[in-house]
Amino acid sequence: MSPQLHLIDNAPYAGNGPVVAHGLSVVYEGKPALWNVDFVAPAGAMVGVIGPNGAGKSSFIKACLGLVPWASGWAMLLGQDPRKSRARVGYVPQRASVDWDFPASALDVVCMGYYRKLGWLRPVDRKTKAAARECLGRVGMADFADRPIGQLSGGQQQRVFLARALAQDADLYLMDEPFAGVDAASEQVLIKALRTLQAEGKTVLVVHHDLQTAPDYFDHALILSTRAVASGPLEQVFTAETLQDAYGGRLAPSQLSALVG
Amino acid sequence: MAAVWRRASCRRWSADAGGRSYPDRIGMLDALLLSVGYNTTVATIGAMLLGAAAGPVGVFLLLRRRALLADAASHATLPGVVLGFLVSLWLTGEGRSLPFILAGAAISAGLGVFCVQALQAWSRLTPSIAIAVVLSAGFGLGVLGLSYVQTLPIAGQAGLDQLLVGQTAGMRLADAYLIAAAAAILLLLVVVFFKELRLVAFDAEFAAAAGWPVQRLDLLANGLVLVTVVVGLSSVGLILVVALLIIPAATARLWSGSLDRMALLAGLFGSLAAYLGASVSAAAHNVPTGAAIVLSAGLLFVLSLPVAAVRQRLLAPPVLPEPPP
Repeated sequence: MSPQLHLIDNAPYAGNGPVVAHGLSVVYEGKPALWNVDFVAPAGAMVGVIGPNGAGKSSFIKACLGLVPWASGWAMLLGQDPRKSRARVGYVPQRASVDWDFPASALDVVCMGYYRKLGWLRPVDRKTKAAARECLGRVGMADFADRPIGQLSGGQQQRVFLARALAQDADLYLMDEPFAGVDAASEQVLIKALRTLQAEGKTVLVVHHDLQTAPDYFDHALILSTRAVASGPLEQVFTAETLQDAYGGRLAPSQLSALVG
Repeated sequence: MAAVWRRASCRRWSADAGGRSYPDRIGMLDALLLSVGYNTTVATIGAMLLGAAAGPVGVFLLLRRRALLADAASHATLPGVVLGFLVSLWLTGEGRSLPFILAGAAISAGLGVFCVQALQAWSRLTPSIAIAVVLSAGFGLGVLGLSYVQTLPIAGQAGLDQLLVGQTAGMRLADAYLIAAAAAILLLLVVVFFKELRLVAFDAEFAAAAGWPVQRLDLLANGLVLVTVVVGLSSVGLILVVALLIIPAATARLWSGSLDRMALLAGLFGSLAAYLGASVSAAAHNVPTGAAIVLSAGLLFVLSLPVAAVRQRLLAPPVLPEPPP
């Protein structure tokens, strides 16, 4: 199926954690988006990937999934080549990456999370639809199942995306900016759903842009600024020094002290 | 260009004088009831199958925002049509062999689509410019080849003209079967891969992350468009075949907000347009089939416009309460 990755002996790292990146770089048209990132996420962690705009946060997730080519290094998900672990990994892309005028209901979108399990040729059956409804219920969207996705608010659309990832029933979830442009009510629903996943022993890795809420939401962090500035338990890495390093002069001293107390 | 059109109508007239099999006068009713001769009936059914397949294929084309790519592909078939004609002339001594012509058309349309994608990748041209370049260059090359074929001292080359505007009446039986079979296979492929096509059209990134072979599915979607265009050559003609992909799909969008229903309706509208168009063209000798089919599709679209307005009013989203957290 997929071609073999670089012939690097990464097997010794497999036990380290559900997400392991070593020397990972991504280059778009000659410009590095991600540079030489080493990272390990411990099992069962809720990891925030934090950094300014253009810091390579999305590129990091996509590189971990094997969706963009690695300019150097490698990544492993759940102790395997990411192309082999896909059945056990749930992915929530950026909301803006799809056309929400697409003729589909919320239920249709959530059913897509079951396509892989259904496999080729088998259409979506009644059982799948019932399961998809249940996933919508877990994000408080049961009443909106048959509503066209174009009629949903941004927060509701994001909940539908999360429900689709829940449908994948994965061991590891990678989410790209799930809280961007989301109303307060939806944000609460989303974070509650993520905490439920964590309580079930799953690992969740979230690209996050809001420094204010980061300490409340995550127990681990990877602070990116094209390179990895710091990674580890949140209270150790979410400091004035690392944030100053990642954001440069974009954070005023008063903002910084408010964030890290 | 004008000369080509004139020859197309002349051919029709001389074919009548040459005593082809269809009767002098065909009533509209006879045509609608498919009682105008076996060959024409098979050709009409083939066109209807093509319309049924072109509908859903067009829906995906529309949703993937690649409508113009089909236009480039259809115009890029012309050099292949001419080449197929010449190859079949060389191999079999007869030029008007539809399998050769369609094979040539498929190859050159595929090359055309490849050129569009290569131009975009290597030259940073926007898609619409790349499409315009390939479309006009391909068609120009084809017209050049066509005028060369016209000078050959052989019979039958005039039949090539009808691939520009389409002609179902008086089609050979073997050709009619070939087209009907190809259209049926096309329809089957859309139905079988509907779920996968839907996924890739909506969210290719998610599909890739879930392990679907997105590139191959994209190739399948483009391939379906290509085959629709090629199969449509003989009934709708290469200039208008893109309309059979786009108009029924656009009409279906006016009627429904669900992809399943949209695809079904697009197939229905497509085959209805093909049926009406082929019948009208069989009854009225001077109406090219392609034009009649496309105008029927256009009529269905216009008639559906009020439906969209009513739907908009009835189904306007009520002010939604936020669901509780």
